[in-house]
Amino acid sequence: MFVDRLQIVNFRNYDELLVDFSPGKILIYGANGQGKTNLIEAIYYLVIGKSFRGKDNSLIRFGAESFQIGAKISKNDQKITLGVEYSEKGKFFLKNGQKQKSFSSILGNLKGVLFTPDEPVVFFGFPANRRKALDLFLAQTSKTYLLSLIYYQKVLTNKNALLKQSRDVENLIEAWNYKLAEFGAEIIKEREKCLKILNDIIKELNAQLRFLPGKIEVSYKTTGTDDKEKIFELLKQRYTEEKDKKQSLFGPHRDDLNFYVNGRDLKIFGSQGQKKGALLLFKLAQAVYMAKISGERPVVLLDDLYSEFDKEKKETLEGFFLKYSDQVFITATEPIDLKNYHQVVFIENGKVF
Amino acid sequence: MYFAEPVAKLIEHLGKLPGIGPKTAQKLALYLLEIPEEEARALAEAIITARKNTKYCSVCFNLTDTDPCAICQNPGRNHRLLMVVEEPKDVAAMERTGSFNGIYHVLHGVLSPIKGIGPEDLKVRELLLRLSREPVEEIIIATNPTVEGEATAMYLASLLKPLNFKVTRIAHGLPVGSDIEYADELTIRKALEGRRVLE
Ligand SMILES: Nc1ncnc2c1ncn2[C@@H]1O[C@H](COP(=O)(O)OP(=O)(O)OP(=O)(O)O)[C@@H](O)[C@H]1O
Ligand SMILES: [Mg+2]
Ligand SMILES: [Zn+2]
Repeated sequence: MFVDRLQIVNFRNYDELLVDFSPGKILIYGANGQGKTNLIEAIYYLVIGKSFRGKDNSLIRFGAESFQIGAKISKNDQKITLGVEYSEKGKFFLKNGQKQKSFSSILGNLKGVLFTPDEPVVFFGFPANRRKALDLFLAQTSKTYLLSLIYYQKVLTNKNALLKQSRDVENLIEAWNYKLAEFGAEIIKEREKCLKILNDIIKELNAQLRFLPGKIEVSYKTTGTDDKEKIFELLKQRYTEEKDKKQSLFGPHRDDLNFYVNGRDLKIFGSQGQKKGALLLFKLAQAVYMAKISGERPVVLLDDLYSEFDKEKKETLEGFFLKYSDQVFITATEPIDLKNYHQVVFIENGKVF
Repeated sequence: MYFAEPVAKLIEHLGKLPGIGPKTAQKLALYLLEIPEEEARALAEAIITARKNTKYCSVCFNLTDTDPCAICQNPGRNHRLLMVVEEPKDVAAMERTGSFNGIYHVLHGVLSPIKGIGPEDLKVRELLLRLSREPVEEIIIATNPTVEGEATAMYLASLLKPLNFKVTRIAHGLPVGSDIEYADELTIRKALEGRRVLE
């Protein structure tokens, strides 16, 4: 799939923008602070239903009261439009002109993979960030996963509210534990299955790209199991512990994914370059997964890759991404190797040329 | 916009109704001022009569004008089969399908720890009480397929199972997250056929 047309109003430093894109490799270049990342941010907004770097009210152009992002997407021979409007009054999403109840009903329509230079630090920080990254990817590729996540979260908030009550709630908590185990097992099962596949893809990619010398491994570490009966038993046994701490201590909301190079945990022992390389392989593997397993080639957004890699590495990487996606956006401050791209966009002060 | 005091008051009251925003409230108020006086009086009286003459059935807690309600009193219905629902509107939806011939019990809500709603806030004690003196054999739990509805069903099942009732859950065919009220008759009928036994 690819973004055919993007239209934005009062978003960041753009007042009104309408730009048509071609499939293939697209270079977005311009000096610092001109709006390159803002453009990437707008496109990715329609992938995840929010900004990857700021609160909604900070996205409205200074002095304006609302922002809008709209895109026409081409997939196979089908065209769809997606849109969002945000103002102080609220936010709503549109698909083909129809107002949606929530973003989750259109999540997955525009599939995307984003890489930004700040991400490795965040990603290899708290486990919650890694879970979030994995969830955003899986939710795009599986509707049932998305539903399980939503329900799990609802049950979890209710269970935590129960655990905070001063009375003994053991007889009441069972019903919530039962649902928690049911959705939790689904989530764990899907995460394990997906990471196994991603792990194989990453190994193969690394063998070809030689990003990280050594043996790379990604694995999922769970505090539960993928068997709902067993989770239910576990939760039952740990009731007093959870009641003492007043929160749910076991299940997919406490899980983690770890990257190892030659058996060493990257988040503890990895260098900056290794972390960057591992995360890029992870992203590339996501694109491969989407293309091969879920059968829809994503849009890839690579912000500031020039500052990350030397020319040769960068070109190999871009080439790989293009193999598994229909459209790759690349931002840079300089217009280098223009003939390499299917489309070149120059940005200055929120205007596209 | 400025309205005379009585009109403003009418708008305010209409605006308190569920699903009515300030704009609709204003539109309704202005409409009501246009209709003939008899009609306005008839509407007001209908509201008062309905209020005065309806109460909750002391057996099943559905809305009724007689106590016990017509369903509870009807010997033609199957009193061995009891369906537990969330709200009176769910009884109405089920009755419209004409596919259920048992009796009901209305919980008046679902468990919701985040809203501070526990079993003591629902008609759960009343359910257990009536089960001890009525000839019920099978209980269908038809709370909505929302997270709260599901947890409430599980909770009720954990109470009822040890008492040796056959407990089933209305299932399948209902879109998850939807209210029974909105489901069409066919899906409700299919759901009834596909009810499963709760472990
Ligand atoms: N809400 C807003 N309203 C107007 N302008 C904004 C808003 N938020 C950010 N900006 C402006 O957007 C610009 C930053 O844009 P962006 O992050 O896209 O830059 P960039 O082209 O990616 O630069 P770099 O090459 O340094 O990464 C800044 O000049 C900032 O003042
Ligand atoms: Mg930037
Ligand atoms: Zn009754």
